[in-house]
Amino acid sequence: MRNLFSRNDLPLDIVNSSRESEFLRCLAPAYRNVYASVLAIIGDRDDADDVVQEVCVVLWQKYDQFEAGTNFKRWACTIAFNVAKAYSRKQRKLLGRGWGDEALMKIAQVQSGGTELFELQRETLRNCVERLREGDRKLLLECYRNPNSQAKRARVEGHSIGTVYSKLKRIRHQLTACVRRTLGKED
Amino acid sequence: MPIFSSPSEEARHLADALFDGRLDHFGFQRLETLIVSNLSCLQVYVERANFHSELLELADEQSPEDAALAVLKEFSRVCSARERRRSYRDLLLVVTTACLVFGLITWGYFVTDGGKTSPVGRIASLSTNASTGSADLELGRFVRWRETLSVSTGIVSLQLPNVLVDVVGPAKVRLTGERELSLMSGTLMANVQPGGEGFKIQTPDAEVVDLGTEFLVSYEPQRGTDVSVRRGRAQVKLIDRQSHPAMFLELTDNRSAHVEQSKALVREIDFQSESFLAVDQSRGGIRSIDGNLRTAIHPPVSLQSEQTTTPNHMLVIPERQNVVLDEDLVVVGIEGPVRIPAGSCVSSYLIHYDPTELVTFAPRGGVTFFGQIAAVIVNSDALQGTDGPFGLEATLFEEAGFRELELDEDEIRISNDRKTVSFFFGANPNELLDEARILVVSESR
Repeated sequence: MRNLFSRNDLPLDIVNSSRESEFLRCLAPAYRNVYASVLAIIGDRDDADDVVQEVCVVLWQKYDQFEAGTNFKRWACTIAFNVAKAYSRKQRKLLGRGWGDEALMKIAQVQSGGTELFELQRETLRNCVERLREGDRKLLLECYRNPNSQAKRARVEGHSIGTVYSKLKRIRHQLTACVRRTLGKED
Repeated sequence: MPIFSSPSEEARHLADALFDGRLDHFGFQRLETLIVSNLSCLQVYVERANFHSELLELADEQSPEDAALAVLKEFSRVCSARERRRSYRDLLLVVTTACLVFGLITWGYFVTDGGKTSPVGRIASLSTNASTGSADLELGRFVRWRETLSVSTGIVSLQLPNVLVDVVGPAKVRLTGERELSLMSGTLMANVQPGGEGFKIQTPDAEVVDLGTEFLVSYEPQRGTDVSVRRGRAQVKLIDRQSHPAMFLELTDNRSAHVEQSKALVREIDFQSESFLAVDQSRGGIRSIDGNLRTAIHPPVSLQSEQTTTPNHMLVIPERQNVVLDEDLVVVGIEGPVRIPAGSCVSSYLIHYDPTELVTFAPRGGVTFFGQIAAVIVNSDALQGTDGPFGLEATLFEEAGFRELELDEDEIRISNDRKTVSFFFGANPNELLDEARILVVSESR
């Protein structure tokens, strides 16, 4: 397979355009926060993926308004919240499902106020996943990579879907305890 | 219906079901009631969103090539869908975004190295008792983008591009870029050199932007953020709960401010000069050290033989700083007699090496200063002659002649720019103590 990442193969506008490069440099470290902010509002992962794409478009459109020297991550998350909130309100109106205004406001407040803490928790979570037993880690990541794999796996192994969810629940519980324990130690 | 030990437990269960796509209408309503009425449940819910978002990202991590192709495919799909219903102009926008995301991934590939993020600086200096919860503490080690450094005790100095940051333990910092870092708790001091202006320190309730300066920031969740500027200028911004800069204050020489998000407060307070003391005592005007050297965290009471032993390292001790000479001073250094003119501002540093018999390290290293080295004094008489004017007042010095360096077996070299002194000490079993005093002429930084 051709190496897409040889510097000579990079699109010239990305390599040479300082504006785009600058935007990408800002967006890369903020991307995880943007995704988490959107997921907190949207809840559903497929919808969240679509909304994050919209957010990236809006961020690029509004990038001229970003004040250099201020915090890009905060700015990006604020925009992500606004796009996600608009989406959630629309869902509530159309389908009768989505957070009310009070819940939206509170979720946004907690997510933006605890950015550092959540980043730390996410880093710790990665380490905890590394420490899982091989089988558990595989099951966990497979369930997240492809949610439908839970039913497929249950069928293959002759279990009920409930058994797979119980396993998943146990692994999540283990990870939650690991994050708490680790951060408790560090603190 | 499961029974839960607490509302938070119930919120966690419902949040998991929501992110799994298994929550029904009533479950959603119940979750909404919980997060609106109970702060712990709200916190649990948002934590859970971050938990699932991280696991999704972990699961989606692919080889860079696969990831790039997947993104391009996804955007092609988006492009095709939108082509049918949107104008050509909109399509261009999506393609641009596809390129941006592609670039984002390729850029991510370049800045990471086998899972490690790119280096943004290095450890420039360590005090004797410096320790961290987990990370390796070695002089010269790279510190990397997004690395979190928890300093349990002592002082760890980080050299970032044109900025020297002293992290005073206990403290936790996260390196969010070459020109910014995040202080999660504790105290740090930043010395911003020319070219480093604009360096930024963030705490949960404040953002401090340097405008060419030496300043100190401390943050504790219960207290808020304190900022003190000793020299130069810095802008202090209060960050509100919506993460917007709400108020700001500009600080100049010898001014301090207190910032507290919960009280929407940013106000000037008395200058906290004592906050700088820990770093001044430990590092003074040292820019970096290497080899088996450590800075002292407290001034030693006695430097007489076998009183302050150095079994694992040599010590560099900042002595009197910024002494303005009333008259010309002539001292005998390794290059012969040196005349330092009246009016010079001189800072002194003592290298102290007093190992036990069980030496397990090579006694070699170097120190780099901000100022220029005027003289390196190794002769016993010259050391004694300068103990008074340059040694620390409360410290006892060895009076025997064996404290001097035996230049036949100890080597000392001054760099061409006269900012670095390097040395290699031998070990004479009968006379273990070796000392050298370095006089540095301060220059404005």
